[in-house]
Formats: sequence, C-alpha cells, structure tokens
Amino acid sequence: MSATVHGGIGQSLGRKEDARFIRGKGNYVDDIQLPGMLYLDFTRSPYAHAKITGIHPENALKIPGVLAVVTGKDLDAAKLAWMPTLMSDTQMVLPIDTVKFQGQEVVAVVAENRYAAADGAAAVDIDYDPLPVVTDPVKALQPDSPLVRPDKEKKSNHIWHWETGDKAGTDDLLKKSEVVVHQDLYIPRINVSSIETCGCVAQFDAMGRLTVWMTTQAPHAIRTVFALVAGLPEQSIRIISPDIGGGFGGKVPVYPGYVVAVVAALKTGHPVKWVETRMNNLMSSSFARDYHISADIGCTKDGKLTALKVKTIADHGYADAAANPSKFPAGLFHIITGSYPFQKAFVEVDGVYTNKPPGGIAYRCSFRVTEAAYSIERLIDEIARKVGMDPAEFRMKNFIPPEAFPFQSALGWTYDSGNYAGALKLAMKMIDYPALRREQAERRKKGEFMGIGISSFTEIVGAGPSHTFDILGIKMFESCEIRIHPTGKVMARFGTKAQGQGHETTYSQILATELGIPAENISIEEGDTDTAPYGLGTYASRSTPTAGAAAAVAARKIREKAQKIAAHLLEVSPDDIEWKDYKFQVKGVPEKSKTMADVAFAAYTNPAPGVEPGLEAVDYYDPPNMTYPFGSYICVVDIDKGTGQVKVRRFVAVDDCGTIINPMIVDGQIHGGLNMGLAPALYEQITYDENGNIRGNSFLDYLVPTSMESPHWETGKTTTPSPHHPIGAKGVGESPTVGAPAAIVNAVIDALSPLGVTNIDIPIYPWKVWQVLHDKGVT
Amino acid sequence: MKVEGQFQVAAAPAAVFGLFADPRRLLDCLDDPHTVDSVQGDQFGGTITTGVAFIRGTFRFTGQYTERTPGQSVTTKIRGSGLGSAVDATLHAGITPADSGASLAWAADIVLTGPAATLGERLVRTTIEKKAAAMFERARQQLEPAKPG
Repeated sequence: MSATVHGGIGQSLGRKEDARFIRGKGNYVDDIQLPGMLYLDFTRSPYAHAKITGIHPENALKIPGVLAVVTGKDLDAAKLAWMPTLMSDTQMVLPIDTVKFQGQEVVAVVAENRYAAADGAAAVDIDYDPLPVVTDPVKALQPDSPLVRPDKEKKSNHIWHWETGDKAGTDDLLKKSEVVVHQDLYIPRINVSSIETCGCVAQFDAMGRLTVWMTTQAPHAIRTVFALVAGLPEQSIRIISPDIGGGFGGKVPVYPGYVVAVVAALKTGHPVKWVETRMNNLMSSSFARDYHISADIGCTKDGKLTALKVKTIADHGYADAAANPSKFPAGLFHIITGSYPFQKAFVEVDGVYTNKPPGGIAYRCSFRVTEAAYSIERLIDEIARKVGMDPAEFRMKNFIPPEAFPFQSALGWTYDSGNYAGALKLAMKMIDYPALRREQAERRKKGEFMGIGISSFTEIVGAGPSHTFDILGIKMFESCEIRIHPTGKVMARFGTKAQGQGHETTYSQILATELGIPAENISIEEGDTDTAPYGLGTYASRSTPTAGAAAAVAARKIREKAQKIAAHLLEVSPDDIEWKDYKFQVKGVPEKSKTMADVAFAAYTNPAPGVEPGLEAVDYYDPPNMTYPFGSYICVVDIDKGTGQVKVRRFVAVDDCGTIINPMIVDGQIHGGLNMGLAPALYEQITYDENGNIRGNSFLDYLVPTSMESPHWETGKTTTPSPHHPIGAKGVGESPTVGAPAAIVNAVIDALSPLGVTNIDIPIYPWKVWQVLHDKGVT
Repeated sequence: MKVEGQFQVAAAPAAVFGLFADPRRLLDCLDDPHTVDSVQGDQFGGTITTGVAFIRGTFRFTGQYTERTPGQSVTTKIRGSGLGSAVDATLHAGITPADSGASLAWAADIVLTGPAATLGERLVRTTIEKKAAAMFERARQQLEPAKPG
C-alpha cells in the first residue's frame, strides 16, 4: 500500500475556509468598521446620454450628516476625472460635462452615515440637456449615429478591429465545401450578479499611507494601477482583498467608486466606505457578453468539417473596460474552432461604443470563451442536421483525436492534451443516449416536443505564458511563497485571491502532497499586497494552472534545500537521499528517514554546514502554455406546447480538468458553473429601450436562476492530465459555464427542429418558444 | 411613449382654454400632492409627489408653454426630475367647439428615464392613463357648472 498524506491531492477534503463561512464569520468589505468612517454614495444619471448644464449640491449639503460633495470638475483639478481601463481605453471617474449611460455616477456625496449619503445623493439637483442615444451597436456603426465618444480622435463609434486566421483560404474552402451553414447568433448582455456587490473602504494613515480594503480579484494589479493613476508611491499603497462573495470577472475592473472613495478619504481625512446597492451593481458594474455573431461553417457531404468563418460585433458600452490580455481585445474568442480540426478558419471582431455601461468582462469564462464555445457548438448541431447526421455521430467523426496532441488549431492555439471522444462516450453512456433517441422518436409521433442537446466544448485557461499574455504590460505569471516554521507548520502566500473557489483548501492539498505535511498544518494567505507575493489575481480559471503550479514548484525548491538538511541529519551525502513516501529516505534504507517536519526543525536549530538557516521558497511561475480543459454535456428538455415553457429534464456533465485536486470542490465548481450556464440560456439578459433605459436593473426583471429553476446536475469525469503543468491540473471553475448554454439551446432547437426551427436567440423565454409554436400552427 | 385621448366637456372652448392655459388651475386638477412655486410668463415650476407602483417620490419640474392659441390649442414642454429619474414631456391640447360645449383632443409625448421608468416599465402606461383620466375628470368638475342637487 502506498503512503498517503492527509489532505493530499485527490482527496475530498472538507473546505478549510468553510469553518468561518458557514458560521457567518467571513470578513467582507462591508464588515469593516473603522473609527470615524464616512460613507459615500452617488447621484446617478437618469439619462443614457446628456449634457450636464448645471450641478446644484446646495440642498444635499443642508441634509444633516452630509459633509461634502465631489464632482467631475473637482476630480479634473487633480487630473483624476478620467482613468485608464485595463484595455488601454479611458473611462470617466466622474463626468465633467456629459453623461454616457443611464446610472452613471455623476456626483459623489460623503456623509456621516449611509442613510445621509443616500439622502444627499437624492437631493443633488443636476440640470441636463438630453442628447440622442444609441444602444444598438449595429446602428452605432452607421454614419448618422450619435457619436458616443467625441473625445476620441477617430470620431467614430468603432473602437477597434481585430482578426486572425486565413481569410482568403477560409473563403476559398467555404466556396468549395459541399455543405455550408450560415447562422446569426446573439449572446446578450448579462451581469455576473455576485452575492456581494462591489465596494471598498479607503483610509490614509498619519504618514499618508493609503490602505484600501476592496472587492477585487486582482489586488496587486490594482495597486499598480492606483500608483500609476494617482501618482502615489506604490510602497505607500496597500490593497487588501478580504473575503469576497463571488467575483466571476466582475471584480477585476477598477470602478469609479474605488477612486472616489480614495479621493474622499484624502479630502476629509477620514476613512470612507463605498458599497454598491444591487441596483447600482446591475446598472453600472461591468457587464459580460453582448456579442453579435455571424458565422459560416462548412463540411463535406459526408460530414467532415472544412472551414469556419466568424464575424462579430462586440458591444462595449461607452468604454472598452474589458479585462483581457493586452494582445487580445476580443479575449480568447479564437478558441472558437473548439474541439475540431478545421483546415481553415478566420475570425474578425469589431469593438463598438454605445450608450451603455462600460465593460466586456469574462463572467466565469476565460476571456470570451463562452461566446466561442456557444457559437461553435450551436453551429456543429446545425451543420450536422443539414448533413443529416446525428449530432453525436457528427462530433465523433470530427473530434481532434487523442493522438494528435499537442494539437495546433487553425487559429494558432496549441492544445496541450485531450480525449474528446472519451468524454462524449462517457456522457452518452451515463444518459443512455440511444434510449433517449428512441424515446424522442416515439414522442414525436405523439406530437410532443422533446429535445436532446450536446455540447463538446474545449476551454482555454491558465493565462498565461509571458511571451503572449500581459495586462497593461505586466506579464501574467503567478506566485507562491512558502515558509515552513520550525515546528513543521506551513504558511503559504499567493498572488491570487479566492472569491469562493476554495483556494485555502486546494492550495493546501497541493502543498501537502509536495511537502508531505498534512493539509491541516498548512495555512494559506492571499489578498494583502503588503504580505503576498506579486501576482495577477484570480479570474479566467487561472489559479490552479498558474498559482497551483507555482505552489508545486516552490515546494520542490524547498525539497531541494531540505534534502541537504536531511542528508546532514542522516549523516549521508545528499545524493544518497531520495524523496519517497513523503519522507527523505536514505536510498535502499527506508528505515533511515526524516520527515519534512524533522528537517524544518533542523533548518532553524541545526542547519547543515554551508546551508542558510530557515526553510522557505518563492516561485514566480511563467506557464509554458495555456491548459485546455474540455467536456461533453448532454441535456434533455421537454417543451410545454401550451406555454412554451422549457423544462430541463436531465443534464449530464462530463468534465476533464486534468489532475483533480479535490473532487468535492471540483463538483461544487461544476454545479455552480452549470447554473451560470443555465442562466443565459433560459433566464438572464439586460436590454435597453430606445431611450437607453436599462431593463434588468433589479432581480424583479433580471432572472437569476435559483434552486427552484435548477435541474439535478449529473456529473462525470475523465482525466487527461496537462503534460506541461507540474501536477497535470488544468482548471475547472469556468468549464461548465462555457459548455452548458449550447447543450441547453441545442436541446431546445432539437425539440423544435421538426418545425424547421434553426435558432432562437437566448435567453429562450417561454414566450419566444410559444411564438414559434404559434407561428407554426402548433398552439 | 405617446399617450392620447379625447375629452368632452359642457363648457365653452374659451373656458377650457382658460383652464389649460393657466398652470395653477391645470395643476390643481392633479390628484397627486403638488406645489406651483413659480409662474413667470410662459414658464412655471413646482413639485409633484407621484410615482409608479411602489416607486414613489417627489419630482421637481419646470414647464414652458411653447404655444397658446386662445380658444384653440395649448402646447407645453415639461421637464422633471426625482427618484434618480427624469421625465421630459410635450403636451398638446387641441380645443374645438362641440354641440354641448367643447371637445379637447390631447396628446402627450413622454420620455421617462431612470429607475422610475425601468422598475415601473410595465406599469408606466397604465399609470399615466389613469392619472390623465383622473386629471380630466377634475377639469370637468372645474369647468362644468354644478348640477342642482
């Protein structure tokens, strides 16, 4: 029997952090109370586009407890009215003369309590002259469209054009393809809707040092941005991300509230807290998706894929405030060739300004991967249908085979490993696919609408290799610093920051396996820039592929040094020592051994001659490649002919995230991600009317699925380790969000396909299905 | 949003015009609590406490008559703000003689923005229609002589 270490890799260790969370003992930004703390609130614009002709704060300043107001002109005097976005665009902190979207922060009010701040914000009178509004990116590209950003030299709502692939070759191959399907797809604007909204507390100490407790997924990057924008010495800034109640990409950007809270703290000399309301969050925090996709896919008449061409309009609102790697304004959308070896592919994306909130964040997907996976998996179903093949059979025929890895995609990615057919076979077995097809045939004879949808997606996570990936020039490495104390207990710090993922547990398990120290003897810290090593943060499923790798590599550095100390203790040469069964053993003499705890004690009390005392290491891990998790999902739906209601009867999700560190946490990640995939498929979207009024700024209208709407998720696993990751792990947090929407929508379209239906834009509300059924004379 | 309607009243067109051309008399026809704080020439201003469904609060407004043709028509532009919301409206009333008095064809072009519009979206039209109906009923009471009881 091989040795084990308690809490090592592969064990479903209970989450260490839950000891505080389930008792309500977490420490979130809004839990922070400081002596003399003031509160910040904003007067927001009711208009989507308007000139500000006057600001009258007098009535606000008469309200007891209101101490100050801050306007765009105040900030402009300090050159802080504008700030850079992470995509090198600019966005307003507070407007000087024009508002660009409904709900935009216009005037900040600082008060002794949050009620006075809210009353003050309501009492500020602002005069506006409304301007024409454009909320449709297609209309925004027309020459007579209102200009959203006249401050830009280009004098156009077109922000950027990005393309990759072989345009001429793709066009040529599509022309030669025997079967071509064209499909327009819209992936609507949605909001991450974390349980905790955004907020911060800013405080200057007596020495002028700034501390900001902040809901940020990337505290180190934020510190650097603050230093660059505000001109503060970086060592005089401390960013602390305390516990965070969900991020999903929405807590990567810098929001005006953060900046104004710092200015207000400086102006008043008091700590200042700002916490968004739910409506504020839905109205003005960074959105996700909003991609208008037009695609052509080709294959031979016997169903062999040939070429893929995709044209996309990306609606960024009034500023491109996405958080993509610098080189990729459309994120990693060019993973859109998915699990298939296209001969040729071409993708182009155009970013567009509209009178909507800025953004374009990832929302639980690695930089536009959901948009890509949804598109390709929808297209695969449609072309399979046109060829007359079962969608499972079509996929099996076209998958990149396991022996082809590492595989170079038509759009330039090098996939590390995969076994797509294996995942789909397991999903088909779990759900008994042949029986479902037989049942469907029977039900169709009775006029019933039952659908089966497949999605065999490929993710791309773990940004990323420094030769390709940076944010504002900072390479996207990740870090881990390990210190083993004399008693053999471990403190490890990371540049990442969990928002519910369970890092304290997962990282402990990696270190337990690498160091031979039980997980309960390992403490994990993240989120404090004064103590943690520099890192780029947690988003895009990058923590395990990058920080997890840094943990393993740093631990191995410790083992190298520890081996010398162990040799000293065992009075043999280091070359005679081997790390086996979580101990340092004399080769061939297993009874002569030292544990890591023995070595740690010696490192402080009896270090080997010529070896520095102490036992610690740090690693800044620069991944050699991205990792490519994948999965196959199968969804079964039944449609009520009378109401158009879609019921998800079964959903089988087979994921492959490489080496699994904690199966229970992986399952939890998958369950959550599947719900966030169900959401845009059937429930969530934010739309705007012709005046720029947001529809979906409360949970009355923005339908976040609850346990009542969620089906029972059936999960399965295959394991195809990443060949370049130190422990073979790939990342999983976002895969289900990426893969689920297409499976659900494919099932709905499959159900309706006898009526000639080829697409319904998401979210598939009952009224949309009812309309189709009504138009086809069914109901 | 465009809302329009017809209003028949047993009163002379000049009397109807007199009411609609006087902001104080016109606003007194509103059910909702209100003030008229200023009237200067074609311009007027005040407050009204109103709302859509549970979204209620006080709007500050300014108005301007852009056209007043005695006995025939009135056009007013109104801009208001409150509850983090804004309303911009153009109201037109055309008055024609009718057998038993006057007929008034009214039309309102209303742009409502902000939370009042978004949260109350489904209820805005019916709310405005209800409030308009109530306003015209009050106007009728003001214009028509009380019937002997």
